[in-house]
Order: sequence, then C-alpha cells, then structure tokens
Amino acid sequence: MIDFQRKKLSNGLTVIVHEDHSTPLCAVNTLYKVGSRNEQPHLTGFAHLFEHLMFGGSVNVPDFDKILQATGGENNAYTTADYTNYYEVVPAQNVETAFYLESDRMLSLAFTPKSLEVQRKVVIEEFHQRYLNRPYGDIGHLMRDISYKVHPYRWPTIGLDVEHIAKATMDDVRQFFFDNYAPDNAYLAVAGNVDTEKIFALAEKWFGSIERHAVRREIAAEPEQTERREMRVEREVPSDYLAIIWHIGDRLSHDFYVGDIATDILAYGSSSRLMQRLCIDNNICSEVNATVGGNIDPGTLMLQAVPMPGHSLEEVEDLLYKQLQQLANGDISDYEFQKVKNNVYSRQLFDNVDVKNKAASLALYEMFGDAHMINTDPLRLQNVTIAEISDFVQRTCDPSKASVLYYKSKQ
Amino acid sequence: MNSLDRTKAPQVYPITLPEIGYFERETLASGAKLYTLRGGSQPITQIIFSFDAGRRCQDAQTLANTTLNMMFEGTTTRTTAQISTEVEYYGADLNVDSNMDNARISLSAPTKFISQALEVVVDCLLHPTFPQKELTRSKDVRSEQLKYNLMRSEYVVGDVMKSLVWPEGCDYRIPLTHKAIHALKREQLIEFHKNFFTPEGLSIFVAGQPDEAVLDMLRNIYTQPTHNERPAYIPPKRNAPDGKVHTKKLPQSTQCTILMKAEGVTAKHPDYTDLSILIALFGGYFGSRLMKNIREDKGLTYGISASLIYDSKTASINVQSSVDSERYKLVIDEIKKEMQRLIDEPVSTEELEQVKSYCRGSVASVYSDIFNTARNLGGFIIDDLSEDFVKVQWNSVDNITPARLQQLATQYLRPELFHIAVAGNV
Repeated sequence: MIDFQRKKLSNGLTVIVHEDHSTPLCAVNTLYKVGSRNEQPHLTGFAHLFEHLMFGGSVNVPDFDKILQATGGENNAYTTADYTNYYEVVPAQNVETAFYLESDRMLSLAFTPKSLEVQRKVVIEEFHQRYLNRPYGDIGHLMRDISYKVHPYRWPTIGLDVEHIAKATMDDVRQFFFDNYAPDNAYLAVAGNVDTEKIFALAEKWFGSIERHAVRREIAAEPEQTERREMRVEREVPSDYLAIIWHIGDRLSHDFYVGDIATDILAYGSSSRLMQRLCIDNNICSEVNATVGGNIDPGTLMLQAVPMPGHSLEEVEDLLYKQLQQLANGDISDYEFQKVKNNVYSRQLFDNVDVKNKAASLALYEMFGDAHMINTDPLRLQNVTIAEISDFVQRTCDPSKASVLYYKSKQ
Repeated sequence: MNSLDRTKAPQVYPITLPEIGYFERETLASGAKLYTLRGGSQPITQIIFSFDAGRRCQDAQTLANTTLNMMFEGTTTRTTAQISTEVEYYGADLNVDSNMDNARISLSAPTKFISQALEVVVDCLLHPTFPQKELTRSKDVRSEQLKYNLMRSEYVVGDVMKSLVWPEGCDYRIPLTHKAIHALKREQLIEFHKNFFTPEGLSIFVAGQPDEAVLDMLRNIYTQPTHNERPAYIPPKRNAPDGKVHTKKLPQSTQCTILMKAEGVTAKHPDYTDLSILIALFGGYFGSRLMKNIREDKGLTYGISASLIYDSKTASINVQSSVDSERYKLVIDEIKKEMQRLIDEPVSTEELEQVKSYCRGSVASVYSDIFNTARNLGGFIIDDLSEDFVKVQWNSVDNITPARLQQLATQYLRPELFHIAVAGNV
C-alpha cells in the first residue's frame, strides 16, 4: 500500500507526495501530458527532440545539469507516445534544487539557436544508433505503420524520418513549448525522505506563479479495423521475424486488464505457454513475446516470434493462433491462473521498492485519472476471470482482422 | 510570492555518507559464508549465491556460463518446465550471470513464498542433470543470438579489440564462434558443475525480510566442505598499443562504433578510488569532458562514455561511442585531445567540486534501498575488499586534488596507451 497526499495548485498543476523514510533520497518526477501522440504528421519525433532541448538551458538557468549535479543528484527523461517524463533523484536535503530547476524550465526555456542545432544532431545520431544501425531496428516503424492509419500512434516517438528532425525550426520549438509545457498539462510527484507539507509549500513557492496556458488539440480517432492487413519486407537480418497486432481498448478500459493477464499467460516468464510450446518443447522459435499497450487512446495487443531456421513465418503464425484458440476456449488451469496472479502480486512489491519508480508511477496514474491506481490497479488485475479472458480473446484476436508483419531475412 | 528571485539557486546542503548497515556473518559447516542484511519497506527477500565458478575456471569457451544456465533446465526430480513453472508460481524472479571470477544466482520473491522458491533453486544447485535435449536447444538459441550480435557494430568492435589487446595463442583473444558453441558436450558441463559449484568460495547474501526457516535452509544446502582447487588465474601480458586505428567493415551499418582500451587498475590497487574519480570526470557522467565536448558542444554522438572495469587480476579503461561513419576520425581526435588536456592542465576548482558532488551522490544512491545496499556490500566482499570500502571511496573524494588528477592522467590516460578499434561502415 502506497500512502500519498495530493493537492492541485490554482494554475492546474497536480502535486502528489509519498513519504518514504527508509531512504536518504528523494525522487522528483515531472510528467507532461505530451508525447508523439501530439505531433503533426509532417513534424514527427518532435516531442522527443523537445525532451532533449529541455536540458539546453531555461530562462534563469543556463546549465541545468551543472546545478543538479552539485546537489549529488542524478536526472534523466524519456518520451513515450502519450507523455514526456522528467525526473531528478537527489539527497533529500537538496530537494528544493529540483523544484527550482523544474519550475524554471516550465516557466520558459532559453531557446538558444546553438541548443537546437546541437540537439538536432544528437537526436539524429540517436535515430541511427537505436533504429537504423541495428538489425530489426525498423520493426517499430513498420508495426505502427501497418496497425494505425489515422491516429498519431502510427509513428514511433523517435519520428518517421530523420529529415523531420533536421528541419525543425525555432518557431516550431517555441510553439510546441507554449502549447504543452504548462502547469495545467503537468503532474508533479515526489517520493522519498520528505515532509508532505514542506513539499506542498515548495510546490507553491516555485510553481505557483506560473500561468496556465496549455492548448489542447483534437486528435483524430483511429477507425475500427475491419480487414486483415499484411506487410512483407526483406532485410539483412540473421533470422525471420513475425508480429501479429490487434487493436484493444485504452488504458482505463477493462479489456486492457484482461489483455494484460492474457498476455502474461502467453508469454510472461519461461513457464509461459508460448515459451514452453514454441521454444522449449519443440525448438520452433528462439524468441516469443506477447504484450498489451496501455495508452491514453486505444492501444494494441501484439504477439511477436522469431522462428528457428527451418520453420516458416506462416507455420509459426498458425501455431500462435492455436494457442490463442485455447485461451478462447477457456482452457486455463487454476494452477496456471494462480501463477499469473502471484506474479501480479510480486511485481507490485518489486515496483514499490525504489522511490524513482514510485514517483513515476504516481505521476503516470494521476495522468490516467487517479494516483490511487498505484494501489487499485493490482486488485483489478487480480479480479480478472478466466471467462473474461475467453471472451476477450474471442472478440479481439480474430485472424481476419489482424495486422501481420512478415519480416524475412535475406540471408 | 512576488519576491521570489529565480536567478538564485537554493542553498545546496552537504552530501553525507548514509548510515549503512552491516551484514550479519556466519561461516557454515561447509565452509560457505552466509551474509544477512535485514530491512526494507516491502515484504521481499533477495538471495544471491556467488560461486567461485567464473570463466577463469573454464577450459572451453562459454563452458562456465552454459553450465550455470543449464543447471536450471532439469534435475533428477524436475523437468525444465517444472522448474520454471514452480519458480514463477511463487512470484519469484530468478536470474543468473557470470563473469571472469564468479557465477551468480539471484533469487527474489515475496517473503511468504521465498522458502518454496528456494527449495526449487537448491534442487537445481545440487541435482542438475543437464538434459541433452535442453542443451541442444540452448546451443541453437545461443547460435541465433551470435548471428545477431555479429551484425552489430557495438559487439564486433569488442572482438576486434580482443585481438589487439591479447597476444597470439592466448584464449582471451579468440572471438566466440558458432563452432565453439556447438562443440560443448554434456559431459563437460557435468564435470564443471561437479568441480566448481562447490561450497569453497561460495558466498550467500540475503537481504530484505527473511524468516528463520529460509536462513536454516541456506545453512544446510551443503553440509560438508569440499576441496576442489581452482586453476590458477594468471592473465598473459598485454600487447603494447601500436598507435593505429584498427577497423572492421560492416557494410550494413549506418554508423561505426569506436572502442579505445588501456590498462587500468583493480579495486585493490591503491590508485583505484582516485582513478575512478578521474574516469568519471573524463567520461563517466553527463557533465564529463567527453559528454560536454563531443555530445553537448559538437553534437557528434548520442552517447560517449569512459569506464574503469576490472576483475580480480585484470583491469581496463574503456572509451566507447557510436558515431557517424564519416566522423569517426574526428571523434577519436577529440577523445585524444581531452586526454591530453587532463595531462597538460590542472582541473579547475569548480569542475573538481562538480565531479566530487557527482561521486558523492553516486555512492549515496547505492544505499538507497536494502537490496542495492546488499548488492554493493556483497560486491566488496566478493572483491576481497573491506565492507567499509565505501569509506575509502568517500575519503578519496574528499581529498582528491587537481595535482593528483593530473598525475593520474599522466600515468593512465596518455593517448599512446590506448588500443583503438572501430567497427561499422568504415
């Protein structure tokens, strides 16, 4: 059970505090509800580029890292489709420095041409290092391209093309900042060896005078997929690869929780069904995976497999459908079901050890509607039934409405 | 509210060394050591077994690591499926890894399930059967992973570097091959397990909220001492760098990866803690010289780092970065310039204070929770250091001077001391 207090400032900033006096540290997590979901098709990768620019100096702080490092703290950030998350972990006595730094860059960035020029180059190198210069690096692009046709989830956070990043202008940067980096679009969570009332006072002191100005724009909804889609590509990779994707509900829908348990049965751990049947028992695949994406807008359920030499993508696809059919038939033993539920319980315990994780989870759950989900989400997962899984798989995992990526090795 | 002066940063308070608990220590009848650290806010128990069964004990490539992994693929009473199903039923997290010196098995589980999960692990420690079918599958999967790695510049550059650092005829310079993976025989694994997964040199670290029942189980895994000697670990003398850039072409790459390597010192060497500070300042954190110059000033890379890595007998200073293929020579030149700058110019007081703060924060963050604390204190014990080694590190940070850093740079960071390998589209 994670106890916390929550307060909303008059400018719309939500502040959450969890006291943990077992650590000398404190994590300050600032989450902005802006990600690649908020980008325009001609300017993709921009939310992520902006994450880099947030370290390029703000109106009163020319060097963010220098001041943070003087406290003995560490910091970083990451961008997803739905949000951009910034955190500092500092010795608790120096927590005010994190408020000073985060509030100043929420107030305004310095917008120096050099920062934009350098970070464009850095992000382009990141694009190469993480996507273009590694086998299978374009899979994320292809999977999104085949499964989404309208919604911005059709491109990954790194962006569609290096050129989009290369041509970003200072005007684009300023507009993006003004629209999205505002207290009424942010969630501040603090976890660690702190006093709640003092944290609320610091929040008021440093963030209270920043005016609300977030601009919310309509995001095109993805139409229902009524047909099967196939994409076949060949690449210089060592093995074939298969992905099958279906649309599911959003993060708050009951289907997300049912899908989460269903994919755990399929692929969580070495004892999971796909690992046992496709990898261990029969040596048909070297890797398998099953995941659900919990997003603000409707996400996806995805199966992935890498066949061993001598086994075709089509053969593996059929085997995956057979495994799904067993779930659709409700063929799940009590022991197997309890195993998955036990893992939900232990993951909750493991996740709640680290103050950085706790602060990030509190901010994220608040973005989804209620920080109390940090305690109630595991219960919702525990309450999923076998009948619900059967119904979910029957409704969702229809091969005639799947998006299938056949990624063939040229070798 | 209106009087808030945003041009002034809040006062920074000194970073102090956190209060650190110490292990309760027991030497067991078998000679194994049991270390227990109690605490934590969650009802979790973590157990780490560290066997004296690392790569230095092997006489065939991947034997140590394959034996370790295969111990969990079948016992006299459990199949591979039964092992993974039981461990996962108890919500346990089981991980294994090995390095030059040790083989480590880490088990974490909710305290209410830890005894049951441990029972399975103990069965695997004592009664593995190394089934041929699972070994064949394991080799096939490893071979697939190798195919993937051989297409990655970050991996291939390591193979190039091995051939530069180690002399002809030395095992360390031989890259992993499909042939070596498939050559391993079940009998070799059985023999390796029998000889090296034994109580001498075994340390068991327990952290979190263990109950007495689980500690009793750990005390009784091995009841008798054994006397299996380990082969002497005598690394060969390294090749001297030749000053050249050695390249390996990977036509499908869009970047290339640079790796520079020089000899470092192990944690037992008197220079180790001071040299760690120098390496942090050079390329060990976001505010380091390499990151500031090559990433934040010139935008030449997404990431660049310097590190000091060691085992019980060897140590290296590594510098690594992936960059545009057209610019790798420029980046190597810049790295060398930064080395030379540290040799030629004393570090400013401001920069020194910054790296000191970083180092103090890094040390403090290691003790942020009971499990990190146990891993770190356990690391000291494995490395045959004092459990108080953190105080040595802390004192080193307090007392380091610009002159000492300059002296260390002159000794360890001269550009001519580094082998240079590049893999990618060169």
